Amino acid sequence: MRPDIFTLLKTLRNGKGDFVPLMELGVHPKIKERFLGHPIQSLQDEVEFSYKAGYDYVKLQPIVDFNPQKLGAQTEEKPLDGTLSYNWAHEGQGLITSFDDLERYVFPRAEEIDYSRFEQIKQYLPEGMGVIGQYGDIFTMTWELMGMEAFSLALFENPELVKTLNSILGNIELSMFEYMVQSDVVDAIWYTDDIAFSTGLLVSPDVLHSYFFPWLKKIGEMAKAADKPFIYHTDGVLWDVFEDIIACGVNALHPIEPKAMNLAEVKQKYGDRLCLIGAVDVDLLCRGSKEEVEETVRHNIEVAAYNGGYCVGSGNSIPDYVNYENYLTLLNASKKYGTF
Amino acid sequence: MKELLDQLSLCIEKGKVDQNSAYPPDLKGQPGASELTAQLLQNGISPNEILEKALMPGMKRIGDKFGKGLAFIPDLLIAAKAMKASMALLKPYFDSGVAQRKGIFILGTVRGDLHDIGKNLVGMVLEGNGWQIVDLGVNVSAESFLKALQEHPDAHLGLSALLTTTMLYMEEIVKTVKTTHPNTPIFIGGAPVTQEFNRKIGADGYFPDPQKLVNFLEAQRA
Repeated sequence: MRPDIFTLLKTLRNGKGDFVPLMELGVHPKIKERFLGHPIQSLQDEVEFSYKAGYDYVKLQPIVDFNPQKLGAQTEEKPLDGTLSYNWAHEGQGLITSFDDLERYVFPRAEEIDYSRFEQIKQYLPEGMGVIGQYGDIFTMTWELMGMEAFSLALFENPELVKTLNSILGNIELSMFEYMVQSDVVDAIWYTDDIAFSTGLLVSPDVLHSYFFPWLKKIGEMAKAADKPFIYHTDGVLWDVFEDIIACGVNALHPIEPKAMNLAEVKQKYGDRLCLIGAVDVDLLCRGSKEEVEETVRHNIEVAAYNGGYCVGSGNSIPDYVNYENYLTLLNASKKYGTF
Repeated sequence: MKELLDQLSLCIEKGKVDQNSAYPPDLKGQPGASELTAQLLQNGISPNEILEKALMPGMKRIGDKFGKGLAFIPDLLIAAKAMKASMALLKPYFDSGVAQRKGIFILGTVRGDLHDIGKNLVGMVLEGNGWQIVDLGVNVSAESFLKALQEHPDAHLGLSALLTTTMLYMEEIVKTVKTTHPNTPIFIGGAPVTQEFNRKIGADGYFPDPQKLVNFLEAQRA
């Protein structure tokens, strides 16, 4: 019977339930609206989408503004098909390139973080649906706030600045995860922070051990103490850091970006210690045929779900430019092939 | 002089910008790319020789390491900073025509896309290999590429995109450019780009990292 958060949690802990769960880090509101036939305007709408699409959870984030002064915000430029709004990686001039900049920057205080969604959600959840608490980007925000070039040079020329900024961001986020692991509404936690791209790590393992893994470990320890599964999202090729990720207490890894790593190979090498989530290429969802999407879902389930420990999903997320029919095919194929 | 050239090459590879640079620790207090370039020029070594025997080998070593996953974006960027310090002293010679570059590369992140770190890395590595870079920035339309080609008709083109949706615009750029400039080499790159896509849209090459593009161009020149 769906939704079934207990089967999802069992799968995240590398167990096998009666079905292969569906998971996404994010589905664009335009896709959700088309699916539901009405706008997404409330928590209720979010729950309705999750329920009807076949997810066993709804994902919630605390509400926090990491740039309350709106520094560096550009004037509104008319988006071309919405694509100009995809400025996820702020690679240009950073906002913080000196200790003076850092001193002037206003960071959110822990007491300003809004957790009201977590308090409100219970009344909307149907039986069997759970909540996953998510946030991320301690490492990503460190380099985004500095700009990738300034961050990179500062690693060599001004490491104290990187360390100080990273520490401020990390401690703010730890307070969020502290709330989420303690909340009786939250069933699992999901930390997102890209450390790699399709051909390699963004920075050396040594740099990750300074500015990323200590935080992942702390969050992992919180999750373990609260007995909640810990999901970690990063794109890219991770062969050199799999053991480090596992050592931080990660139970499940998302999204197994197809261009970067082969799902069967990851399953063969780490499937006994990690639940795997995703691996349906976003490019395939955009430009492939329905038949190709269905076959990919079938194949992924065959190679990764035979002993549990796999959830069907995209190789990143579902943006608005995904072919809608292909997204529906993914959902339907998951049900067709994912029942034991 | 060979020793000086080798030393400069090492400074490029390791990102030793000048004598005051604290990085790398094992070269602290020693002359960096700026001082060594000035010394070589004072000793009558030509800018082309400095480029070919010092800058290019240094950038190639770090570029090859990057391609093998032994060096990372920050290593390339600090090497590029050292290279730029050297190029600042060589630039007047190239601008005046006393020294020759290999050609012009027009680079841009395609329309709708604002990501530029990949494009910038390619530009740095190409510059270290002796190419003049015309960087059109981000959100670049087919018309802008054409306009730049009209100013530099013998240039190569490099297109970058981070998203599947913006990557698709590369096809329009290739079609537009090849209509009026059929012999212009067009290279593409970026996270969602593949060899299959390169073949599909009729571009002239896809390379997953900047040094592989440089190696291809060098092989073509040989």
